[in-house]
Amino acid sequence: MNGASSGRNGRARAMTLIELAVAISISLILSFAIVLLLGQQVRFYTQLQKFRFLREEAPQINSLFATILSGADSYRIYATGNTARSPDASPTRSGTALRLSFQLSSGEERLSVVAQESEGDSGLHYYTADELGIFPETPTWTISRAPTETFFSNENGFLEIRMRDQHGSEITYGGNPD
Amino acid sequence: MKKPEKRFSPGCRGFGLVELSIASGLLVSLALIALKATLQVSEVQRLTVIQSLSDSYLSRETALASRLPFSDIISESSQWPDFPSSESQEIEIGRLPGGVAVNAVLVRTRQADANNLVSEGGAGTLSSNPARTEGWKLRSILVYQIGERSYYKARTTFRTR
Repeated sequence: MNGASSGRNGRARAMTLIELAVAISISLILSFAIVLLLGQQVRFYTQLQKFRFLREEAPQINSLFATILSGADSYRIYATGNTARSPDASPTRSGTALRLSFQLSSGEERLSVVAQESEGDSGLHYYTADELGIFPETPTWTISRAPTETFFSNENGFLEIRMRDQHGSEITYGGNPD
Repeated sequence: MKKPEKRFSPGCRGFGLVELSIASGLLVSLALIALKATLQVSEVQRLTVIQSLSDSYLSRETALASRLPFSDIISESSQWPDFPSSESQEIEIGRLPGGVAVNAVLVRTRQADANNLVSEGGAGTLSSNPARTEGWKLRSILVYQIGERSYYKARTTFRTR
């Protein structure tokens, strides 16, 4: 048997206090390093998530808008989603809702509304009116829940869409529906 | 007879210390690799986000250049001055998380089409341009920085009458 690791009577030699102290210190340092590493990864992941709106959501929403608007014959901007869905409302130069008019091949007009809503089921919603021009109470579908604010504007003679998310990111797209 | 020297091997006194040192060394190496990867991903992400913001801003420039009345484009006070003159302004192209503004420099200039008549900035003649058409290339150049590097992104809209 190895004399260095066993006592005179054949039993294993216990660790000295210094050995134990060194081992515990190194273990503590290692644990601390692991916790720091994990913390850093969590922070990094959180930061990645914060950028997700600008990186992925906003370009996708804009791409969807381009597709929807290219099929529309005209658009009007309204202050809110409720006014956009109301038949007697007056359009404005900037607001949170867009009413689109589509001319069907039959010659009929079909209306749709894109609106940013913060009450109830918040998000950027799309409403399709029936053949009588009446809009449903609930959205036909939700474009995205990522933007917390969306503004449509026609101040410069073309449609501008400004979006913000909950982390303060902001992006503005411009384009023409025709 | 001389006793052979014992080799430093598992089970020897203090070998645990060596094991812990190796483990901590490995951990530090792993941490450094993870840090480098994190920095690389952050840089790529920043590049992607700034690309997204600059593309969105230039979509507005293209829309404005397409919509502006022709008389405004060629006027003395045009937003796109006749080349080699140009107009540059610092603008905000968007905001990052936390509301951090991203700024860039926008340079606008316009160039006459080569077939424009001489009076309209070109080198065309009545035989090469009998209809007297007039065309202008409206260029918007966005200059932005990511880290130490400057990036240029341009959009050109051709307007004619």
